[in-house]
Amino acid sequence: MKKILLGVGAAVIFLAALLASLAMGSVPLYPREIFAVLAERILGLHAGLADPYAMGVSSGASLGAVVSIVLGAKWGFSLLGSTEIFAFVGAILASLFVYAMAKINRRIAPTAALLLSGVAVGSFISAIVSLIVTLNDRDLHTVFFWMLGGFGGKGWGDVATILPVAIVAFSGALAIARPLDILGAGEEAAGTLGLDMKVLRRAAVGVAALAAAAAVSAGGVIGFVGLLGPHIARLAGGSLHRRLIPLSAAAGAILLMLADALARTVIAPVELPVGIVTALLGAPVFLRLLASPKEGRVL
Amino acid sequence: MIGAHESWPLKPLLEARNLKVGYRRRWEGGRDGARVVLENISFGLYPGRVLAVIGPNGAGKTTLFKTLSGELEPLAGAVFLDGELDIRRLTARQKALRLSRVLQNERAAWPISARDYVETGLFAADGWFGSVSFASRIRVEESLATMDLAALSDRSVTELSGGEFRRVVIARALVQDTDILILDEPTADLDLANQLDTLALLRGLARRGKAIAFSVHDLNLAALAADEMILVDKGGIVAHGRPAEVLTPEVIQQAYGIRAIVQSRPDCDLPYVVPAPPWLKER
Repeated sequence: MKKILLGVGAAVIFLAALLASLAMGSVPLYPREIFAVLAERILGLHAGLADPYAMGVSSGASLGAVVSIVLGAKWGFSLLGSTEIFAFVGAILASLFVYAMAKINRRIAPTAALLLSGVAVGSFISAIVSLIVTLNDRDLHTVFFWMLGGFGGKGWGDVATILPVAIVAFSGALAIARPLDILGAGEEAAGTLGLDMKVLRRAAVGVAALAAAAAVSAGGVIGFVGLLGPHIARLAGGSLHRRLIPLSAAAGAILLMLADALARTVIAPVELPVGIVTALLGAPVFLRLLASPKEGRVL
Repeated sequence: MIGAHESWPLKPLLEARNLKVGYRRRWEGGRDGARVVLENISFGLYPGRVLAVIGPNGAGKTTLFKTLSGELEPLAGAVFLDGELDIRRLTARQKALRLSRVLQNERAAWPISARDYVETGLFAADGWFGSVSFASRIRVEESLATMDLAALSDRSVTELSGGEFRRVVIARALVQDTDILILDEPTADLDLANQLDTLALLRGLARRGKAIAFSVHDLNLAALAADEMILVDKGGIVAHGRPAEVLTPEVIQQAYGIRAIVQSRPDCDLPYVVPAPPWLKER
């Protein structure tokens, strides 16, 4: 019953966010906005669990996309959405690889090992991406714009593609909300309360990888929304995950819609990649929060 | 080993048989890669009894508790639940339904209210998808009241003082409502009144049939609360018995290397330890 109410609550917030942005008049309701919301719904989600950069997901997606673009140009295939599919597969494979690497040294992968392994694998994959792009500089422009992220030219078809993954990831994240709360006591204490860390870690990595892979493969690498969204949600609704997860999704969605509106209007008719806007505005705001003694502690 | 616990008509809920506890060194080379902390450990936790585990810093009290609760695998021997069930065969959740623990140094990672923090003690009973029942909510409020936290229950756990947070952690263990409680230094960080309240709570729980083990550094607090004491040192149990049997000048000298005067308390026949350091004579 509670779960249903929470689900309804999340849906209401989600709709309210859409209506609010409509009312402000800056964001007309186009498929791409809904797409932005859905992508962010996921982007905002996973940040509570793991950051896509730290998990190596972003670089995995980039590698998939670059391989698709370069090979597509070379061998002349351009299946509908092949870049997105390649990016999705790349992201999933990268996150599984990161998880496997983190597990090598211990029976259970501790969070630190996961992060370190993610950074190492991410750097390695990024180097491969750079190498491929350098050797195929014809495709530099396409690759560059894909990696910056954006919603230009996205349509209802893209929404339909991402929607099922979004629903699965969102439900998955809500399902592990309670175990995640328990983790606040530390891994050892959580274990004494009956939490099987192995199961939770797998579930969390699975949900995070799925969500991040879907978002990154569809929208490109869009920085800082995933960090800011959950943070705003935490300030607004506290740290209990059953509230934090839906609120992060909503907060991220609103942020991304605003960023997209800016990206399309600042130097219109030229459209900026939305990733530039989010990073340019998001990073200073994030650093400001980090420096603040009150909010910084909540990060 | 000096002394032995008196006969008690009930069977132990949790029993350590010939435990060898310590840490396996899986990744540091060496074929026999294990660091043994304690050996030949046998004792039981009985319903209605409070056991105090004492010993110098680093003697292995925490390691023993970790092994006892099934968190750490014993190097040899086994821990049995209800006399027959090897605790290693239980899942984390099954263990949490029978045995609650208070860890030595727990810290809250993010700010949630004391009430929400205490409520996580219901996780084993409710499961991943279960919702908190009305009866469980009452149990949460009762536990908060028992630990004198009613006024603090809406405060964030990250804003509480060390002693207040300690009480929150104990309240969470009460919410688990298990018949075995293992508490690692439950009185640390507490002021004198709260120390005594906590010990009174442990005695009250024992009177309701729970089996309790706690570790503590203050020997007099241990003697006040415990039916039975174990002193661990130098890789094993040095003494095991009633407080008066364990707390003797000889045993204290042997374990802690200090001279101590042991008297009977003026108000009852429990032992009372007064350390007598050599520099006292010079003053």
